[in-house]
Amino acid sequence: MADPDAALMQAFQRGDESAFETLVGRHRDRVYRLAFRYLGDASAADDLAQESFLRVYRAKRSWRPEAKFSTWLYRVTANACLNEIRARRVRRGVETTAPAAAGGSAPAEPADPAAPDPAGEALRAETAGFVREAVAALDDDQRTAVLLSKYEGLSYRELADAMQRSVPAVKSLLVRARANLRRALAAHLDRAPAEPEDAAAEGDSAVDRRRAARRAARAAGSGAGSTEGAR
Amino acid sequence: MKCDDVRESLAAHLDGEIDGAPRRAVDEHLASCADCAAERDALAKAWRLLDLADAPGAPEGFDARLRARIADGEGRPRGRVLGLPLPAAAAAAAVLVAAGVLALRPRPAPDPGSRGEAPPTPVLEDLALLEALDVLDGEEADALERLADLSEDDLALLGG
Repeated sequence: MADPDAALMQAFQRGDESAFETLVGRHRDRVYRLAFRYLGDASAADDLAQESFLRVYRAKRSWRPEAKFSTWLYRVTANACLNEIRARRVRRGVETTAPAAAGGSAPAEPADPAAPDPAGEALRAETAGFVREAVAALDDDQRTAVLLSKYEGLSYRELADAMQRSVPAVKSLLVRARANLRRALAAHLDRAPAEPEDAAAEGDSAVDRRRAARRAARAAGSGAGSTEGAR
Repeated sequence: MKCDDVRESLAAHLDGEIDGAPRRAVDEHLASCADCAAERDALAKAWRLLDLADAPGAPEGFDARLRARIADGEGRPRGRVLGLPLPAAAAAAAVLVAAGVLALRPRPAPDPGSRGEAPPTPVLEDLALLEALDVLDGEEADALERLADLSEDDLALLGG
C-alpha cells in the first residue's frame, strides 16, 4: 500500500500512539482549514477539527484501509461540519427572534490599516466576503464538492470516494456548483485575480501543482482518458 | 459539438478532468464559438475569485488540546450501541437474552398468525446466549466486544 497515512493508521491500530500524533501533524492544517471554510469562525473550526480527529481516534478498531486515509478523513470532517451546520439551522429555526442573516454570511475581514494598499486590501476583503457568502449559499453537496476540489485539490475520483458518489455524479455537482458561483459572483468577476502567466503549466499553488501532477500521471498512464491510472 | 454539450463539459475541462479527443473537441468548439468561450472565461474567473477567501491553518496549541481531550476519555468509543447509551443497551441486551431463553423453551407448534410478533433478531439473541453459556472462545468474545464498542461514529461511517 502506497498510502503512508494508512501505514500510520495501522501502526496506531497496533498500539503506537505516536503514529496517531504523526497523523494529526500531517493533517491538522488541512482539517482545520476545511472546518473553517464550512463554519466561518475560528472557535467552531477548532472544535470541529478536534472532533474530527477524535473520530479518527475512536475508529482505532473499526478503521480498514479501504479508501485513501486522507479521503476518509475529509469525509469524516465534512460530515462533522455538515452535522453542525444542520444543528445550527435547527437552532436558528427555533430561535425565531434571531436575525435571519446570523451565521449565514461571513463578515468581511476588516482591512489591515498597516497594509501597503489599504484601499485595495479593503476591496479584496469585501470581495472575499461575497465569495464566502456565495459558497455558503450552495447546497451541502455542491459546497462539499467545491471546498474539496477548489481548496484541497481532490480529483473527481477522490471526490467520489470522499462523498461516496459516482464520478459522473461529482462531475454534475461541479457543473451546477460552478454555474451557481458564476451567477452569484457575476457582479464581481472583474475583481478575480489574474490568470497565471503560463496557463498551460497551471498556477503555482500547491493545489494547482497537484492537479498538474495528476494530469501528467494520467497522461503517462493509460492515456485513454481514464482517471483510474493515477491512483 | 453542440453548445449545450460544451457547457456541460466546461467544468471538467477547467478542472483538467477531460483528456485526449474529448478535450480537443471542446477546445475546437471554444476556438470558434465566442459565447461558449465567454462562458468558459466567466466560470474560470468566478473560480479564481474563490482564491480570495483564504483560511488559516490550525491555531497554536491544537495538538495539546487534542491530547488533553483524549486523556479525558473523549477518544474512547462513545459507548453507545444503536444509538442507546451503554446502560440502556445493556438492559436491552438483557431483555433479548431473557426473550431468547423463553423462546428456547419447548412450546407448541408456531402459530402462523402470530408472525408479526416474532421473537427479537435471532442473531443477536444467539450471540448473547452463546456468550452467556460460555461457549465462545477468546477471539469470538473479542469480536462480540467489538460489536458492543461500535460507536455512533462507526455506525455513521457505515451508513455514510
